[in-house]
Amino acid sequence: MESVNNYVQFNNVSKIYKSGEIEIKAVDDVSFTVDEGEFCVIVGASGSGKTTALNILGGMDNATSGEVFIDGINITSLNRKKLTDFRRYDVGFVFQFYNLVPNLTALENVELVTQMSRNALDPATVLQMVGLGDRLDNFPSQLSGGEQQRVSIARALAKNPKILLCDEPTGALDYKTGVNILKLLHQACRDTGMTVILITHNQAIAPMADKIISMGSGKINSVKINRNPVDVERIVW
Amino acid sequence: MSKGLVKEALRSISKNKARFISIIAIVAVGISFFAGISAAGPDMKQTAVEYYEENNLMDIWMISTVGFNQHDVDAIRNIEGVESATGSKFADGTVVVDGKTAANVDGGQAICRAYGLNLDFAKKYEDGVKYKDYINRLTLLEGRLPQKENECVIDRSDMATPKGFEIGKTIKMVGIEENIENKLNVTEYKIVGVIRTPRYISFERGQTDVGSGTLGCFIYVPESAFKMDYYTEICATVEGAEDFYPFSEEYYKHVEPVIKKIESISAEHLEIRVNEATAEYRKQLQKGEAEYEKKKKEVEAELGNAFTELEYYKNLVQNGDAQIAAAEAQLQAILSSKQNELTSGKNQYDTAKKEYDEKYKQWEDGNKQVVEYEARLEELKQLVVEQDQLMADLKVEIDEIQAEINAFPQPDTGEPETDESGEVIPPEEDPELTELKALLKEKKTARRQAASSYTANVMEISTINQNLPVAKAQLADGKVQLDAAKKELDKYSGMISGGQSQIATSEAQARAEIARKRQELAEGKEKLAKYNVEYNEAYEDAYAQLDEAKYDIEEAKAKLEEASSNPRWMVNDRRMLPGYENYGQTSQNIEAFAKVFPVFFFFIAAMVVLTTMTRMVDEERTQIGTLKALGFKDSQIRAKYLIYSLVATFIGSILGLIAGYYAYPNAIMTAYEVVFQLPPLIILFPVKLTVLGVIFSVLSTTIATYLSCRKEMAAKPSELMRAKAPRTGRRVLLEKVPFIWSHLNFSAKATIRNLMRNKKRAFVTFFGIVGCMALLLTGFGLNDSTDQILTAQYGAGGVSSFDAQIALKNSQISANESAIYNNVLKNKNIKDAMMVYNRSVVGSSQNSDDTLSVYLLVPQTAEKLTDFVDLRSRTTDKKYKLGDDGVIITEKFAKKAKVSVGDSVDLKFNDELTIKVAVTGIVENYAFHYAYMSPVLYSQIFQKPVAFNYMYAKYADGIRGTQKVETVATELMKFNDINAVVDAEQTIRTFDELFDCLNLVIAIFIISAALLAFIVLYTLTSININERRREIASLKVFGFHNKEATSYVGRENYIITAIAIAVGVVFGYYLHKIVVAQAEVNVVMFGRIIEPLSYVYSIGLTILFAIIVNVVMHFVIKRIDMVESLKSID
Repeated sequence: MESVNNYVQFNNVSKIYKSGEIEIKAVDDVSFTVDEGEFCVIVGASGSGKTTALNILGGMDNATSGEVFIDGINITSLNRKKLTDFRRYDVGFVFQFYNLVPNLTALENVELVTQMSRNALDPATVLQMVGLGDRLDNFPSQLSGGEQQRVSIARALAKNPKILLCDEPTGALDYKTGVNILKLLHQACRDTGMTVILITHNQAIAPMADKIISMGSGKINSVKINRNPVDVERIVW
Repeated sequence: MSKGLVKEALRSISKNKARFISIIAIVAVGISFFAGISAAGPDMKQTAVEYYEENNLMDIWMISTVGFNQHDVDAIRNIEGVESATGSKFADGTVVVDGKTAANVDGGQAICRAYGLNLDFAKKYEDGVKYKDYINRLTLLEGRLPQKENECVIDRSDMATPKGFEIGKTIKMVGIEENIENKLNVTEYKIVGVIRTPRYISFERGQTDVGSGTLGCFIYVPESAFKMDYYTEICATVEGAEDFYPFSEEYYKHVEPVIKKIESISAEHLEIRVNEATAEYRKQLQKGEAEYEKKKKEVEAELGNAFTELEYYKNLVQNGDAQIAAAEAQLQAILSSKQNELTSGKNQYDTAKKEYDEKYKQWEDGNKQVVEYEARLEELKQLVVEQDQLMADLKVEIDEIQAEINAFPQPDTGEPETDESGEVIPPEEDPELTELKALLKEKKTARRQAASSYTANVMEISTINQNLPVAKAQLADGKVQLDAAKKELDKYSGMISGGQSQIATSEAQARAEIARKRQELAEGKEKLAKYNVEYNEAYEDAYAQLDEAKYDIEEAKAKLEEASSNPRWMVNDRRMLPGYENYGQTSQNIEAFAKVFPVFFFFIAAMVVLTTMTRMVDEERTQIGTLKALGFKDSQIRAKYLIYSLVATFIGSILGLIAGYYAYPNAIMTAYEVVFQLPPLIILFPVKLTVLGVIFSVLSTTIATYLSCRKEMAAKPSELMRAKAPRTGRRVLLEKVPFIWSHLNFSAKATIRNLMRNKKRAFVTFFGIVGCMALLLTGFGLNDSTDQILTAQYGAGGVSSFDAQIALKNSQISANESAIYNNVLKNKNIKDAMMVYNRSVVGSSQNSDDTLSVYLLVPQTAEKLTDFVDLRSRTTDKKYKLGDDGVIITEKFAKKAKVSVGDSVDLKFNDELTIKVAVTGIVENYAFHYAYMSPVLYSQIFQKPVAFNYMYAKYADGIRGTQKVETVATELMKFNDINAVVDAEQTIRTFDELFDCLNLVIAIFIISAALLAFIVLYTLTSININERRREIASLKVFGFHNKEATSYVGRENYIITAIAIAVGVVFGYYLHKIVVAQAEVNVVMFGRIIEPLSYVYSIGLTILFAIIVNVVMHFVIKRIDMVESLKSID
């Protein structure tokens, strides 16, 4: 992954919330790029604008100004329907709180997404891959937090998206489980060549990334390309 | 409770407006239904109470068989307990408006009662002066009160007031087999106003003793319009009666002793009045009889000539043909007798002719002989002369020859006279001698021969001479005989020719006579037709006059009979007022109704509150935990939710109560407007009901709220601060059926699991929609039910298959001999007609307290009835035939009287006459009640023939429903004996208009159903969506389109809706039955069938409601921000 191809481009993106007379700039003229197959971590404290940036990246929120390109597509110019299709086919999402459908089993939770994707992977295989081969028919409530997050990752991976967006995937997990999840994500990135963008407030996670974008008060503090990512196992927080 | 908490509680209201409003709405709907329907009964009653008090409705009314005089009135007024008593007058008869006899809604002729009105009282009342003696005060609704004798005011009942009764029109009262002129000075009245009277609260007008027995309508005319000097009724009020509730037992008990007191004085008063009446009616009788005689003479005089002529021609026409026939027969007889004579004459002639012929032959033979004799005689005579000559000549010759011979030597001498055959062989004699001798011999022979012939001839002559005279005598005798025969023959021959000419003459004469008679008959027929018309006109006129006189006599006789036989007062309380009890009963029915219906709504309201509050508490788990952790007491925390629900409930209750108190009673009363006429409904705000309703709703929502936060209150703060463990996903039973389960997609699977997970919510939704569906079906079904009354009763293939009812002026005893019946049948537009006796009786049975007005219908013949009325059981489809062993009654009568086939019913004609008859059949019927009785049974029971007063008619094909109906009616109305012709279609139209107001009730059902469906579906769906916002947001993040997300959530509603519709159909079916039974008024039976189209409408509307809610939900879902998916679990 040495080639620099600017798979994801964030060009002068701003997101301004208006509350009466007060303007809050959640994201303030931010620009960055992520290459294809890169594992990118956006790190920042709460209120730094990292989540807003992720929302805009995932087509869940509109930028007030600026452009976002993903694989050459300007997603800021897409209408609602196209944007939905973009999410449907090209974005995998991993939530902090997993967001599994409680009434569907692990397998069904994955199938829920794959049945509407174009080039989806086999749900059972993907679940196998994330280490849940024997928990396919369990409901979320019968799974631990880590297992639920694995289902969530499997669900994101199974649709074979262009980018994988992770919102504090370890936020609700204990350290050990968190590490395992990070390993899984890293592995997926390395094995499938998928572009992964992970946001976290946890600085400790940053060293494992290929690119570390540090945000604060809606602006980018620094963009650091990490030539030698640290092995996940060695990360401690 | 801290100030902060109160603030927080109030703020949570504005924060959760939709939830707050949904609680308000469901509580409002529930309580409005409860309070509204519950208040309807009391409202109706209160309206009646105030109406009765304001309009001073009599507590007691009495009628007497002989009428009342002023003395009676005064005496009753003086009875202790009587507040006031007034005598009043009325007269009953048919009424003509727009030139036609007015008809009732049932198609019979309307009997109208004219009441006398005290104009002074009425006018003063309008000015606000209320005399206590002004009983049954009229409320003027429109126009003005009568001022002159020939003015009247009418009531306005859709059901009872005849068509055409409008202000400005003139109506005419006509007596029914009596002279109403004896009672009224004026019979034509101009309608000047519309009034309402408390004595007729419903459309029922009660009974009358004239005509068919049912009073149809009434008018008020000035008292001065009455001619009679006695009162027909006395109306009285009782002191202190207004303190009692009018329909209550207590009230009746208060009035009872006064009635007893009145009855106790009746005997002495009756005696006086009977004497008075007897004198009066004797006078009338005498006058009537005199009048009758006078009129009869007049009539006879008037009709005299016409009558004689008519009779002559009638006779002529009737006998003409016979006479002609007789003449022809006579002619034939004469001809044949003459012919006989002729034949016998001919025979005699023939005999005579034969004899004559015989005689003639005899004569002819005799004559011939005589002629023959004479001819022979002549011939012989000549022959004799010739022979004599010959002999002489021969002698000469012989002598000469002898001489010559002698001249010869004479050998011999022979004697010439001896035998000539003694041959002598002459010896050689001289040849000459020989010759001479031969000659001589020859001559001698000749001479001998001649002599012999001569002798024979002479002998013959002598014989003939002997015979001829005899023959001649005989001939003469034959001639005489022949002449006699000829004479005889001539006689007969003359006789024959004479007979023939005689026959020809008498035939010619007879034929001429017959021809003359024929001519006469033709003329007679022509004249008869002419005279008939003329005479009939005169006759109708004359006999109408005679009828009048006869009516007077009959009335006087009847009255005298009444006066002498069993004079009495009938003192009644208000129970006998038409419709009075019915109104009380109806208001009670509605109250009963109010006890079942609202419970369901309260149940739904409580369930909605429970789910809503549960969700709210769920959402605020963390806050509860925090508050707990901060040291607030459970009760303080709970108070917030209680306040929230209380405020919502309270607001909902107030809104619901206000809406309910106004809307429902008014709507119900509007629906009953067909039946009842009262002042505008008094809307009560019953404190008890209000408190009860509020307590009930507050209690149910409070308990629901308490229950919804019970679990949270019991939990430790730490538990509450932690995210609530998501509910366990569970497999449902269906998954055990892989065949079905594996074919479902994920949304379906999730939907089914969601339904199972939120059973409580699913059930609330389910009940809401079942309720909605049931209400809709009931509403639409109610419409069907009223429509069916008409179609099933009068429509094609309906129960009543006659096209028109004809009311007769005078009752007819026998159909075949009835001129009017035959005249109707002769009309080419009438296919068939049947005479019926139709009388209103009060039907009841020992099995039930219900009494109702029933028409006793006796057809011309039992068999013919089935041509006009379909006697068929609705439930079993069995066809009945009217027998002579009992009556066939209609279904609702049977139901009300609680009788079945084999039981008996009581039919009350009047206070003295009630018959008990067996029920032999129960038949389908929708409008009014009938008891069908065969004429045979009727005659057996009453020991008199049936007096038919109506006729049912069927039009010829292609007339019903066309303009021609009018023509037929006009044609029939030309007969003096026909009072009214009412078309069945007209009856249908009248009914149709009546039931229009039920549309409002149907609208209430539909609106209630819609409210129920919307509130329940909306509330529960929004709870569902709220609870699953994160899930929905996540789905959107995954790339679900809004539509997909909506259907993912909405499908649950559709499934519940589908199941609930199926169940709702069943509930609706039964609810419709119950409501129909409650809603139907006494006179009709509503149809029991819900039409397929109504099912379609109900199901369609329910689905539409579900779709509308889902569309609204779609927009809610659309607005869910995907960012919410990132939030932590609340």
